[in-house]
Amino acid sequence: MTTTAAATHVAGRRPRFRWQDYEGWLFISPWLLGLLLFGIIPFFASLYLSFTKYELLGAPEWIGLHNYQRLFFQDPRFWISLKVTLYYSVLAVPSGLVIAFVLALFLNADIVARAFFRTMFYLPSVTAGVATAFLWAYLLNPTNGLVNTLLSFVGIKGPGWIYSRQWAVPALVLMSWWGVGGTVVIYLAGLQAVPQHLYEAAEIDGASSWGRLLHVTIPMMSPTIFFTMVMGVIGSFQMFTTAYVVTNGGPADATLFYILYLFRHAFQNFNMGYASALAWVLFVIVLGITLGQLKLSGRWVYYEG
Amino acid sequence: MLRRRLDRRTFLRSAAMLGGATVLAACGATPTPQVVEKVITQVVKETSVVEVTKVVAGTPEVIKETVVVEKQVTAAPAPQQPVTIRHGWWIPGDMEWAKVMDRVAKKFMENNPDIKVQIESSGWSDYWQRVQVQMAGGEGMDVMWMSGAYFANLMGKKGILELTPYVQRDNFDYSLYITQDDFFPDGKTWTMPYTGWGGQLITYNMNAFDEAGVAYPTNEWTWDDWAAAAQTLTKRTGDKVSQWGMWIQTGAEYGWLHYMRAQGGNWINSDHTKTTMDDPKCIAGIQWILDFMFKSKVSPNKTEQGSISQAGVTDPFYSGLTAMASEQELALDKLKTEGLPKDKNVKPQVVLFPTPKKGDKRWYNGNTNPNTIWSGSKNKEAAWKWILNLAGRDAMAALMATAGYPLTSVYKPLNEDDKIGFLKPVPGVEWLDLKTIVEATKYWTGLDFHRKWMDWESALEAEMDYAWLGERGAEEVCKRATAAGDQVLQSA
Repeated sequence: MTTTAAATHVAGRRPRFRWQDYEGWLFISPWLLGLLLFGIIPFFASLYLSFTKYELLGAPEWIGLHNYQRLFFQDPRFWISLKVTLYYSVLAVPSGLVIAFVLALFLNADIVARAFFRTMFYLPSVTAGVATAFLWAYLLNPTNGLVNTLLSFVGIKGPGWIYSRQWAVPALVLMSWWGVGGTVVIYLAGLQAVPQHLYEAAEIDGASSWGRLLHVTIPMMSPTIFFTMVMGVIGSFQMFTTAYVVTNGGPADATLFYILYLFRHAFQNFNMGYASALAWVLFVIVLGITLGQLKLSGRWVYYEG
Repeated sequence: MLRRRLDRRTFLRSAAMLGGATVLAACGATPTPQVVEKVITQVVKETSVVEVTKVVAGTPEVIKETVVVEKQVTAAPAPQQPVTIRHGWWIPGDMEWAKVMDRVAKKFMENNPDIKVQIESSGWSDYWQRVQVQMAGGEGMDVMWMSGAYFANLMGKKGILELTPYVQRDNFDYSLYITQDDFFPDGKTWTMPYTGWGGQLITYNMNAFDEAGVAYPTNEWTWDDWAAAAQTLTKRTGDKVSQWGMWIQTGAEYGWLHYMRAQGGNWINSDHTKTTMDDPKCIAGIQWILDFMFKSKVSPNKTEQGSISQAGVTDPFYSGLTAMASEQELALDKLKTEGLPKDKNVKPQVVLFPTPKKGDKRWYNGNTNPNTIWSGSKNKEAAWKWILNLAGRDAMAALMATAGYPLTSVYKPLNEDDKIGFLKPVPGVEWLDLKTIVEATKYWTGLDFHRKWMDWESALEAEMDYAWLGERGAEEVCKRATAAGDQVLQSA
């Protein structure tokens, strides 16, 4: 506290207004305004709208819990979209993390042209989502796509992929592996932070490569793995672009992801009230899963120090 | 040179002044003058005397009856200041239409110097978002090209202006146009005709028929004739099919709805409160498609169709992959702009879609896309003048003359005209039976649009997919689709 302020305080008078006490707020005000206008207000506005019938034209009409009743008890496609999203999440997240981890292990080793390979594996994750989706749709063409052609060379008749109800979601999981580069980079950073002396100590104790991986690398990487797992689950629940562009929810709603279903209600049918209810249910589900992961993390995540 | 240091107070003072000046500038903008229209509607009585001669007991008697008719007449408002009207539409795939719109607008503006027409184009899904968001923001487009899929919904939200007073005032004659009941709910007029397509046809490859030694289809064909021909025309070697006998589209509008209707069924009841796909006639129509796809295998199923289209085949008929296809005249755009594909052995011809049995009623899917006026438009009279102009013969003829315009006109006289109308021969395919395409328009029925049509149709298509994938039979999918459709209809 400055001399002036201290003197004023001691005298029991209100401190004078000083610019320097508020200039910090002034400098971050543009960002704060954006957060308020495009984040906080819409967040709570959608909560209100979820209890209304609102179709963009005309004022919202309060209908209480009707949207939620319809959602849980009268809309079978809500359950279909939730099931599809959960199925995708269960397949995509673990597989994506494992692939990213294995790639990171290889890219962390002392291999020839390591920098080149690191770049090559990271590049796909920065390519445009729509272009990537179309590319994969061509590759997965059941009749003359590259994947089924290669499978036919080894005597396997490839499935219908995105045109098959059973294989549409696995096809999208396959497409999601294209974007593991971002996770690989995070794991690389984590691997390089593992203290070398732990590997040396384990080697001295006679641990094999596999043993060092299981008892040194993975435990030391557990915070990083936990972070990517949480983000991966959240990201999987937001699956939209590929389904919208390539399959449009088909065939037979096999790829009707939750966000795609929400998008249809909000921006194709303009059922804003119902879409808001869908959004809030998704928020609660994702929040619940994240809190569950946080609770369970104590059992397997090791924070050094 | 002295360098003055910028201190904190000076910087903050300057930033506050700049911010305040910006806000003042924004608020101080001169408001745009608002043009207020007043439409005066009067009730006018017209009295006429009608003489009727009757013979009573052998003696002719002349009876004079005085008939008094009351009708509402809307007077045209006084001349107004120059206005700009915005006309929104979605690009249907051919930018030539945009050029025609610009030409027609230019001519209209020359004849109406007080009106400026601004054409605004969008893609399909963007268009509907713009329409509704702009309406909600009070900045809707004055004129909107309309689809039945959204019409009932927008009308229910009071977004569309009723045109009955204008039509009556200017004596617009709808009898000259192909119209669709969907756009005349409650007997009132909400739209002006502009474009339309429909009328199920079979497009067949004459060369394929010649090679297989099969007689060409006729308008008297039945479904049995059609199935027999498709069987003969399918060329298969093991699992690979080099030519399908028939290509059936798996969507409702151009596909399965028609087959249900051909059997005498329909997908919804007349007041749009109950899905009726569990009717045995509907099931019979769907079963026919499934027999083509999975029993006789003369038509590709959904997986096969997807695979073919994903491989880059945009039009299986003109690629020579199928001997017959169920096409509306939409396929004409390729013939008009690109001509016959040179490297494919395709010689197209059309015939009316066959009926299940001889003498069965023809009932084809059809769809019109009229123009409408936004109910909140501040330039209603100018907008009316514009869409009245677009419905006129000259504008309809200009559209018909567009390179690659594939559709019959909703203005009937143009469909009978072989100089500037639809019957003008298409260069390179002069043998094409254009009269049959016009004939098909006589059997148009709309798509039963209603307020929840988008949601409802989407739910039906999702269920029907199981059939096209070969996972469920006709009866099961139809019953499930009925239940799914009813769930949407009953939701609030």
